[in-house]
Amino acid sequence: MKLTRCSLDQFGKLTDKEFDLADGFNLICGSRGSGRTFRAALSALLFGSAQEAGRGTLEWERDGRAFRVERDLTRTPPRAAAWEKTEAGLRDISAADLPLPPSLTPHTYSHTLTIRLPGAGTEGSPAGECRRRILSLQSCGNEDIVLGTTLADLKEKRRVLRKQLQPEAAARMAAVRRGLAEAQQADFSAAAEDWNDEKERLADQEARARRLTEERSHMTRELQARQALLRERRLDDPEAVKKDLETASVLAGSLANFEECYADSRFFPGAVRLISYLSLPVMLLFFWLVVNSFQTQRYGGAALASVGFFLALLVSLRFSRKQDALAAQEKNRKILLGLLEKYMPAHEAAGTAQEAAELQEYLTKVSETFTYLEDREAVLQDKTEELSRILGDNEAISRNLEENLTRRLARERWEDNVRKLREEEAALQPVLEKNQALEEEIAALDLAVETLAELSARTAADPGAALTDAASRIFREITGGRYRGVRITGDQQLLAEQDGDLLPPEALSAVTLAQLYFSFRLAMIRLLWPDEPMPLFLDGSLASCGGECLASLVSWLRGSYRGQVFLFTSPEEGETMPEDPEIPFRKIMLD
Amino acid sequence: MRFIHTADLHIGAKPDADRAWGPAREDAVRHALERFADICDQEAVDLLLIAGDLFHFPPTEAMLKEADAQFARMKRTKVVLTAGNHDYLRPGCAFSRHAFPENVTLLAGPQLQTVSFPEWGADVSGFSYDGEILRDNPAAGVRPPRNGLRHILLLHGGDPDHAPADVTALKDAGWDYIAMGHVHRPSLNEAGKAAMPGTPEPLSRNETGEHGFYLGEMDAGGLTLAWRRFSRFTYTDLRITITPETTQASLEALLRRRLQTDGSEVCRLILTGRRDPAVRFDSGALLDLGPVSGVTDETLPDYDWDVLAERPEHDLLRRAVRELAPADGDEDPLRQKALYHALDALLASEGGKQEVLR
Repeated sequence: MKLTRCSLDQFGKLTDKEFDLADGFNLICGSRGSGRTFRAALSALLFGSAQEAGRGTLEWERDGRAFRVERDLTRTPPRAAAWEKTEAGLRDISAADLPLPPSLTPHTYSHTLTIRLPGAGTEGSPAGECRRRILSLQSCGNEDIVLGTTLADLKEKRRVLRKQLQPEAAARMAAVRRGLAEAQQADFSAAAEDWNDEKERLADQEARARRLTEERSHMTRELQARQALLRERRLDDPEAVKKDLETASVLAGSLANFEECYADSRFFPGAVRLISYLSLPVMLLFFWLVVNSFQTQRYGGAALASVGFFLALLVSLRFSRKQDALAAQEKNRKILLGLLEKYMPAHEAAGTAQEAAELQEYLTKVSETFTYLEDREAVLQDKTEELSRILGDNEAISRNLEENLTRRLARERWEDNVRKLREEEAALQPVLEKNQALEEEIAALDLAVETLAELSARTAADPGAALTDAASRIFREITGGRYRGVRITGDQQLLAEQDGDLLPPEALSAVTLAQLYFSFRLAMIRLLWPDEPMPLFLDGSLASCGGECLASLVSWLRGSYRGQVFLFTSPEEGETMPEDPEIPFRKIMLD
Repeated sequence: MRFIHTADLHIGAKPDADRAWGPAREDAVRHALERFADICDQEAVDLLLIAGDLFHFPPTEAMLKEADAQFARMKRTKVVLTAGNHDYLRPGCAFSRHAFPENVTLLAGPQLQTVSFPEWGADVSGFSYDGEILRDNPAAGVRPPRNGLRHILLLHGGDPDHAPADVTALKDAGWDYIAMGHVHRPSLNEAGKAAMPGTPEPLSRNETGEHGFYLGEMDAGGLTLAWRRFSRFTYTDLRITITPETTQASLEALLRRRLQTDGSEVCRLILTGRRDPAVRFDSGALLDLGPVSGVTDETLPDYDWDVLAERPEHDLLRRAVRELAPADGDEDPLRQKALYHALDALLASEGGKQEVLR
């Protein structure tokens, strides 16, 4: 493809300009920015880019045919017309389908056919920049893409997304589902149905137990007081009291009887004893008189003596009984006095029937008290037994209630647990959805990283290798054989080969570095358009890289490149550009 | 006989608990039964059918007491309900031993039970869940008794894990109306003999659209059903088509005009269309604009594929497009996402070249 002529109007400062373009070298001289405008104007005319306003025509030749395009990009929509120049004149062709070389696109026009030395206007060392661009060309086919940065960017995105993942949510959800599944096995059928009745019953029982306890306590205190009083009066032996009561009863009766029957005898106990003692001899005397009278047959005397005998016998018997009664009364009195001393010590006793009766009465009361205490003890025992039974019942009821309470609490815990599990399930659901979305993004990033890495490897192995071979040949030629070529190692090291040495870009001079980069760019152009020489646009940076550099590049281009070359420079540099008759060029002044 | 068929009230559920409108949502769900009591009174409803999941989980005694208060307000309405897979019955649980008011019948058995209403010439049969899963449908193969009454079947479930049901077979078995529950979206079978009322109040942002219940009338002449809206609150999907000119600020301005602020609607934003590749919408800021339950960004960068196609064959960007772009007619979201991630990163690395793709 060869550009032959162009006219530009309203492209920035380029207004109403016409240029005839040479076959070989074109030195484009213009103030700062005008070269870029010129290139953009050509691109706009070729491709109809709406980003550049202006109008003009462009003519070119290709495969022996000539074409012309005319565009007005200042209008909306832009206008375009195209023709093919034939011997018969102009033939209309479609402006939308111009016969351009394959692969010639705005992108390849701007990024492949236009060459700008690396390092110019960028930060960092020119050698580093040069290496980066060449390696990018070799591994990506695009010198502007830094694959390491790209992959790092993707991995950083992936890291950020992974950080947002909540991996515990899935485990927690599984635990929640397990919990819910376990919850549906719950069984509370053993829980009491009469919960309230049981509670009321227990309350009644407890009230009754309290009453019994109080009664029992009261009775116990009473019994203890009475028993203490009895003990104080030495009445702690109910059997002895009972026996003494019987004795006192007998004594009271006996003494009363004696006093009633022998009230007078007590005043003459000696006379009674005397008469009692004398009655036996008198009786014996009358018996002798009776016997003697019968023997002497004095029957009258015998009869009188017999009467006397029987009278003496009667007196003896009477006074003998009196004497016995007196003896018994004395004995009883002594016993009575003993009992009175035992039970009524404060009492001044005479041993009378009256005292015996009082003692009997006293002991009767004591005995009754013992009986009362026995009865109360029996009642107390009954109450104790009842209390014990109630307490036993209460314990059973309480145990039952406690079991019910435990079951009820278990049920309430279950209800609470299921509620919480449901709430947690609802809360986890959006987290899981978010996790899923994040995982999909992460998977997409994984795929992107893998794909780019794989594509990079394939690029390096396929077009990259061909690129390096072609660049090596050009590099060897440009440097006049000083360098045999260039190598790109498996670990992405760029090395220039010279006399058996392998030199990194940092070891190369600026000129050699520029030559190296130029070699790769030209190699790229040859790979893209192997059969058709394309116009080459050399940025102003090449013109300013030094005479030696420029001379070597131009020399090589003249001998080895069949396409047009547009070398952009400033008017000042253009003026000082040496005129070399071996390298004819057309100078085009833009300003 | 006028009846209301509802299900899945899920009392106790707390939708969107972590959002500003969460308490209002919880309140609406909690008061659903109270509103049904009002409607039963206003509409002179004879029978209220609740086909399972009245509660969101096995209810506590307190929840049952609250429900009793509402049932007691339904002076002329009888209530028949079953327990579903959420409020299933366990032996001895509060639900199973609860003594409901006289007008309420819980069909608590795991097998089909029937309660008759001869005064209306109808009976209602149903069964309750005793766990979350019920793979055998107790109503399958059962024919209603030939007693001259019209037969209503309460059926909670329908999917393989929850009382799987063949509605056609059930209808052929002789049921006059199959009052279903479990699925939260309303539906009515073609013959109009089986209906799923859905939740009266939506419970999640996926339950978009209107929610309500069926008001039916059954007599000797047959069955008539009418759908009534119940929910005071709606989840909607708000689709917004993004253009390359849309910015975060313009999107926010649009949403401020569009979003309801009376609390009656919560939107899930779905952004579609093509955006400027350099623009990334801030979902957090959009969520803060008002009742927005979530933001789904389905927008794609507005790349000019023709420009991408102009790249050299071996250019990594073009090869990445060729490698990752799904084939025509092939929906592969993963590859598409990967492609856009790759392009974003490559263009960012290329730096300053993105405008080429617009």
